[in-house]
Amino acid sequence: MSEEYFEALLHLIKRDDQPLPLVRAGSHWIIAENEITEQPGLFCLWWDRPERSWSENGALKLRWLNNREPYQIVPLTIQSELVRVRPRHKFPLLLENAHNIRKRLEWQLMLEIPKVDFSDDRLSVFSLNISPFRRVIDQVYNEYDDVRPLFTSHLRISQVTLPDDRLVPLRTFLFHYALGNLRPICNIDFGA
Amino acid sequence: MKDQKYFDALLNLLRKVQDIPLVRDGAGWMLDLEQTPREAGVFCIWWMRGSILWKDRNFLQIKLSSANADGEFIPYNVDTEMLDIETNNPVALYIGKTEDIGLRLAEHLMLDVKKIPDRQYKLEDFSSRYSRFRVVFDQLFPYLSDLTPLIKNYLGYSHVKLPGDENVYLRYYLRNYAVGTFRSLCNIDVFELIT
Repeated sequence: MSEEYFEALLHLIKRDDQPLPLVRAGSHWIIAENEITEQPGLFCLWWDRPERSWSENGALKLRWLNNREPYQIVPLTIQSELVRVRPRHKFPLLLENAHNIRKRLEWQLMLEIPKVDFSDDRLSVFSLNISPFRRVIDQVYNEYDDVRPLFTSHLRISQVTLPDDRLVPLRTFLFHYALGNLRPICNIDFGA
Repeated sequence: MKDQKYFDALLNLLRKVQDIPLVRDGAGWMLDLEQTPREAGVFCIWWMRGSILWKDRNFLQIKLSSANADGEFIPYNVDTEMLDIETNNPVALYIGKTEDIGLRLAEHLMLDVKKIPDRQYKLEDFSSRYSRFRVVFDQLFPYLSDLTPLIKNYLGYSHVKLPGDENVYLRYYLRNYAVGTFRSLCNIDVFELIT
């Protein structure tokens, strides 16, 4: 299992992205049928062609719930170069290692909720019930009442399926390797 | 500029393996916390005395099991081809990030525990009673009743100090990059994959 094999899989994740296949279903959005696999594997969400800068003076400022006791909301100021947030270019937002790619994607997108209200400091607003993806997007686009239409114009997805159970260790190592390479902002946790 | 070269430079620091400093603790041994860094950073536990014990078992695959989110045990195999165990280079076993390298290393080594009872642990024990490192490491040597001599004589460690809250992201990304690059066996975390 050479370094080249990992690089080849990473290349797929970096380059083989497509628009996220969302369709309207009445008043809400759903992932188009049969467009996203239910197999195990890795997927990466990308934000493409941001219409405005995500950072000020090279830093991205957000609030976060740390994942160690005592749980508290903490300020998150991160160098945009570290997480590759760049104007006018796509950049990685979230990498997932999923047993079921479609289900995991549905949980991250939270398409049933137009907007998460982060206006107060209640821990529940930042709780683990809010997906890491929506925790970032809904803060960055705080001025929107409904962030979901943004997904159709800016969100892209790449995926690598590794369905064989014997590939679980490979999937794990590839996930960590890609995390260190892509450094997607939504994956950040605060555990030590 | 914290580009990939910067991360690769940190990885090279993490390749500098050294002996684990131990002191007597009654009849056993404990980590010498005065000789280990007490700062935040990333650390790695290595198998550093060659791969003879692994080769002798003629492993083609390492068979392990781990608990999923429902507390069920999931068997899985690790192709030894994926790990660098055919050479005499040190083999990375576990990589962690922490606010106190010495303390966390001691927690993972669990030198006061001779052997984790086979499959006597449940999911809640996985993180609260036994360290991730020992849960996997002890499975590699099912025929041994006391793992502490192996830990004392065959393991080493390395570390990169990244202190302060301002480095919390660096610690996170570096730890993941190192796990993916070194493919540290004891970091395989099955129960996170079943969601």
